[in-house]
Amino acid sequence: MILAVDSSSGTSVALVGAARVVAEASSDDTIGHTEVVGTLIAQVLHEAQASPGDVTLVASGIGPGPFTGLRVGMAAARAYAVALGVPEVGVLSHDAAALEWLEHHYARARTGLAQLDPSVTIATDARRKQLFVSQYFGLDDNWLPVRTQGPSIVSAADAPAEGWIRPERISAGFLGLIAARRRNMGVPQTEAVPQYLRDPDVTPSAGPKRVTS
Amino acid sequence: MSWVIRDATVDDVPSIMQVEHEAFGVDAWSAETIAADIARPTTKYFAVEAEGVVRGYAGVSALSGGEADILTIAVSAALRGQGVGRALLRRLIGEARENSARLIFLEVREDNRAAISLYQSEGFEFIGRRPAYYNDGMTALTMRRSLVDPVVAVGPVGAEALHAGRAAEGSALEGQVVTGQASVVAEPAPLVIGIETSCDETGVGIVRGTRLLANVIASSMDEHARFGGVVPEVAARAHLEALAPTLRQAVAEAGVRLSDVDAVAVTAGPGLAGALMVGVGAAKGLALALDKPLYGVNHLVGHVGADVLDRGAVVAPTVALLVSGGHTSLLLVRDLVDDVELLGETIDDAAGEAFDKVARLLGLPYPGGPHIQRAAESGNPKAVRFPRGLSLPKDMAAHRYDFSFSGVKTAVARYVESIRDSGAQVSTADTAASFQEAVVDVLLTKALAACADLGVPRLLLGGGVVANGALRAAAELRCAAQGVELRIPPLSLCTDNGAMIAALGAQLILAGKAPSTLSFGADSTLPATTAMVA
Repeated sequence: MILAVDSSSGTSVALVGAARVVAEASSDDTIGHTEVVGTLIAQVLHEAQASPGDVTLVASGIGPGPFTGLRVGMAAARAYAVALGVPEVGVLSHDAAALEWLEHHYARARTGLAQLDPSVTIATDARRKQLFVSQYFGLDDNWLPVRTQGPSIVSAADAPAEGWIRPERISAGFLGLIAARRRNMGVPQTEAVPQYLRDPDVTPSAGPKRVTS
Repeated sequence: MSWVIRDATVDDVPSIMQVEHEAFGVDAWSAETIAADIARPTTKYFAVEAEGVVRGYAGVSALSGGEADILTIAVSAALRGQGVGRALLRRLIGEARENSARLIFLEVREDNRAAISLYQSEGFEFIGRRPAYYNDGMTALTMRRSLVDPVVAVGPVGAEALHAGRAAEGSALEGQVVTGQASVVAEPAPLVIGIETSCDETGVGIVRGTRLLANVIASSMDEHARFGGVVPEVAARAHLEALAPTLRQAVAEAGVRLSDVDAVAVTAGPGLAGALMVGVGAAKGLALALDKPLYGVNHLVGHVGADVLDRGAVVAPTVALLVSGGHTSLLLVRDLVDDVELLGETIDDAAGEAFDKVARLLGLPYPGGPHIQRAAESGNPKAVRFPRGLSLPKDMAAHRYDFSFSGVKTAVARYVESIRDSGAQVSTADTAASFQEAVVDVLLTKALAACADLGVPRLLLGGGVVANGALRAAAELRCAAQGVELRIPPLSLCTDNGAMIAALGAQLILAGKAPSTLSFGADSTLPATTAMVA
């Protein structure tokens, strides 16, 4: 079973089997990641009636997302993987949002509810009046989203009035599905390296200031 | 050959050395080491004399905290097969008991079957492995025996080949192999892993009760150097990167399996919020994966708790002075897990921060502490009288145990600027020495005032600034003059580390405290009165 954890916006945790989400639990609080991450993991284990050691792969949402929260989920996922001696892989959080939207959209198109348009732009809050943005074009043969651009940071003022998908939450279930499909299909996994897309907000000191005039 | 066991003295060292070389070869201790160890008040050495010649020796360190360590047992070939080793071992155990030890530990080469059998027959049980412990790369097994519960020793007296603590020649160890199981019924000390990420060090420590098994620290200090101080976001990023390797290394060094861990402890605060969250997140993942209880503990109380690893317990009451780049706190510890009171703390900069800032003024690199200390070595500490913050009578009324280092930093800046403006050269050495003197003076004056006011005859130092030699030297002098017992844990336990967090976690468990809930968060201002979060 795959344990998937994402804290790039709220916090979402899922257990994913070979091809389906077994349990998923989320909190939309965008600041309380540290408080909820443990209970969410416990909750999905309980719902799936799984024991902690049933996890054979850990998938971390690697952002982009506000740094402080993003790291909490990654730290929990990483330590979980180290504890069990299982691999930890990374999944771009926007990929999960794109997969969720595209699967839903394909389903609507198949049933004639929508015109098929595989282009989608995922935008999430980067704070400081900026957005993290990634563009996708449909799903590939393995049913993995095809990212054509990004992730990058843009000014929120440059966002079009409509058209961009602004997911309310990143689903760890879809995140885990991406890791599962990659594993099942032999598609290389991504390293679990956080996508901060911004340097730490600090500049080297120019030297001490005078205290006397 | 008849033989007798008697107390060893420093005069026996030359003959002990012959036994030593015969038994241990390349791993032999030097005469100086053995002489120093025999002379130490916390150790007890015995010599085996046969026909006027020393043919064996053994030593035990009996600490006040209820734990004893067997340091060495060596018997020369001429006396093997006569039960000398077992007799020595029993003398050591007796000595430990007399010193109120409740547990006794030893290490033995994994390939030394004869010695292991002897120890097992005398009631020792395995508690851990330490890979590559000996000079030739051999693994050490750690063994322990309770001295409280009755132990039925089985097996005849007659095995040899004993030596704990280090290696001996395998060939020198052939003796009668004793088999048999001892029944030891002792409450095992909890095996706790501790995670510390409150500032710029990623620390993972593993302890068994009060025994340190591993203390691994990854520091992001170098990454902060060009900014002149710790940058929280840089530190937090480094924690996530260092997390997995630090965890793995600690587990390897402790020679335990993570699945054997009884509990996870983590610094919940105080500290840098973003940095703390990495540790708390990781600890939750670890505890859940291992299905073990989690303790969110206080960083400052952890610094005090480090002392249990050094002497088995924090002797209370004690005043604790914790000085680092992030904290300058004076605590009254009546009970480590239940009663810690904050007497005072800095109202502006931490002492370590002042060292960093003054170092920059003087053109010295970051971190400032070691560079100021080095510069001060050739300077005159009385050259300039820098102010002692919050020491005036009016301040002492309102801030008796509080500190302020912002003023002394500005005073140094003013002094340096006035000298430079006059076209003269600033003496880095004198300025560093005078500044250091002012900081050390105010730290110790306030700490010792607390000892005197509260009638507490003990002072414990902790925090990275304890690395400063001038602080340690002055503390020793002034504590001795005031009749205050000074405790300074080893430096590796004074700077931020995970072992102290694990040690505090173990103390909380031994005190019967229920674990934290899974929903606690990082608390950057967690008060020292809260040893653990609910």
